[in-house]
Amino acid sequence: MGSMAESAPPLIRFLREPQSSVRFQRSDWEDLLRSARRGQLLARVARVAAMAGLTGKLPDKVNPHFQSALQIAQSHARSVAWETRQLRDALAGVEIPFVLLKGAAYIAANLEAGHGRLMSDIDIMVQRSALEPAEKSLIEHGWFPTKLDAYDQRYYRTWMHELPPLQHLERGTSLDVHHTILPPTASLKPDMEKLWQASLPAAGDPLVRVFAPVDMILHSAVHLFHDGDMRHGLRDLVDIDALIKQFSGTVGFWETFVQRAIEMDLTRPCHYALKYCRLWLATPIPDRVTAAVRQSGAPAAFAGGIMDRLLPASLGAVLEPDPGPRARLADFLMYVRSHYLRMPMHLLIPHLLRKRFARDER
Amino acid sequence: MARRLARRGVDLSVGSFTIRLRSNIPCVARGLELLYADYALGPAQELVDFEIRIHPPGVLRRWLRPQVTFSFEGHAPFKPLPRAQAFALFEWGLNWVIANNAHQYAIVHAATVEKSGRAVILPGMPGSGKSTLCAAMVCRGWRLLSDEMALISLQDGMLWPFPRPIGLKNASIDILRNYAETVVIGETVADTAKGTVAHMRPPRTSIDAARTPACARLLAFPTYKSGAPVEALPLGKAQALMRLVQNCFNYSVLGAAGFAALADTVDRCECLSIEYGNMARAIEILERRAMNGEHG
Repeated sequence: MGSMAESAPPLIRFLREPQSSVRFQRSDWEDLLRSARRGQLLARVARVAAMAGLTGKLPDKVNPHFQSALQIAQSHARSVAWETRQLRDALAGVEIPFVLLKGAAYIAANLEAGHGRLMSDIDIMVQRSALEPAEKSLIEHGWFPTKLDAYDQRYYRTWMHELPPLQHLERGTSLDVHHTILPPTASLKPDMEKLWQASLPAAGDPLVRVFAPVDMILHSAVHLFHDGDMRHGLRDLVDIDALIKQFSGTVGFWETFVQRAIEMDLTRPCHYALKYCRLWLATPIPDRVTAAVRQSGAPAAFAGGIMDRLLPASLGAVLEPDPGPRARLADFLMYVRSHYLRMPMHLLIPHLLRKRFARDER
Repeated sequence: MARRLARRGVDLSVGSFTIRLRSNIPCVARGLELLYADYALGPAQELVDFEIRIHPPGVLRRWLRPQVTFSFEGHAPFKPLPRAQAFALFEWGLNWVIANNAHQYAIVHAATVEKSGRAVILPGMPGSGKSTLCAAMVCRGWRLLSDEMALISLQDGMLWPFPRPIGLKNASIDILRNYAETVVIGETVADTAKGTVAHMRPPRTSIDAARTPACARLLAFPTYKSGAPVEALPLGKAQALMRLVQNCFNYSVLGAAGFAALADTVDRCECLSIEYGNMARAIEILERRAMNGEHG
């Protein structure tokens, strides 16, 4: 899937140019509904359709699917608002500010990327020094660590950038508490203090924060291209596309973006994000920007060649009804890569072996 | 049929939905042939809403113990079940798909039937006897809307039909088998999570009218109690609403829109709870209440 012309799958054609759907055949709509559902993107598609003025032009059988998906997204947005309020109450007592990350941030800040965004769990970040008191207070308010063995506990706490996942006793909602955007074991070392300083109150509340626009995109790119969980890869790319479209109208946005990517040592994931947004979703990004990011962020030719084969297969897995061995292999290699980026070899190999072994035990 | 089902799949048109089912399991094909005999079985004339597969899980398990998995959009929400339960798994799985993906409706766990344009909603926890009651009413000339879920349109509050084979459990299977000569019941499967189960074929007239919605007039919460006399007690609107909410699958997804749809339903219905030991008598009462309108 090199270039994305008329031959692209209907979901991609729709995301690139919603108006193109007026020419869709029945089978195109079926394909779009299926891929979008697999990729957790149906509500987003419905939102984009509404914003593009397509509501009255959709086939009768498509309308209810969009309506249904939007109901789900609205319920997720209600849940995010409620959980945020609960988190604030739990952490305000110990005066710990927190940053909402990813979907929760887009929804809380009422960004376009948050409309039609589905959530599985809520991610927040607290300052490293606040991690212990935050955990204590969260437990007191009902968020308990999910059942993990001692190995997993140590893995999360020692090597990764988060507490073990928490789950609320009564509501069952999941919460991931991070203190950085990349684990301390990773070779890239973005300066967290800078992200904190630039962060903004989500809705006038100094304790509930979101990243500054440019940092939001950087974080989304890091998450997508470093975290190894490619199941929602296309959804994350769609997030980045929406953020770019919303923020890039501001004068000086791109200059700030490039400068920040370099300053934070995050040009590699940014390079991939911009490249695939442009290639797949036709996101408007000036040439000078892609060139500048490529210059400091593009991998060596050999690694780049491998990534150019893996990423499309992995990102595009949801577009196929039955992901073949190629997509599954690509997914697995992306998973290995994400760990390789996060951990040095002497930690990584025992970890992967253990995970492989533990999975077979079940 | 079996070959088409295994390859390109069979397109089932049920009410407002078209479902493509693919399966290489023989008892699924047999179930379809017997119980879905009166449905349009495609190829679909319109957009396929959902695609479902019933298939053996992994290669290994196939040899160890014959099992089947239900999958939807490449995702298997349930644990595999013994091969003999494949057809029931399709029915249960389809309920799950609708309950999780059709939020254009408020979806209530209830049997719904209609006569003379007046629909009855019979919500019920397992064991309330709602499916048995519903099957018997259908044998008495009521139109089957659904034995499992009331689909209440968020737009106009109408009840949308979703008529499918009626799920019967344990003693109900024989009760219905002997109830009327026209009754057709599929293969009986023992030892499922719900006990012994079988499905009853819905009447052709219900299937032919599956695109005609109905207006709810009676909301009755049934409780089966062996040997008890039939007793219908009026239920206050507020209490009826609370009980309807408890039986609503997607109430938390719908939020305010769900509240409005359920409140509207309670408003237009006479509400009662009915305890019964005698089915014929219970049906008589339900029929009278439904036909007499508001204060029958």
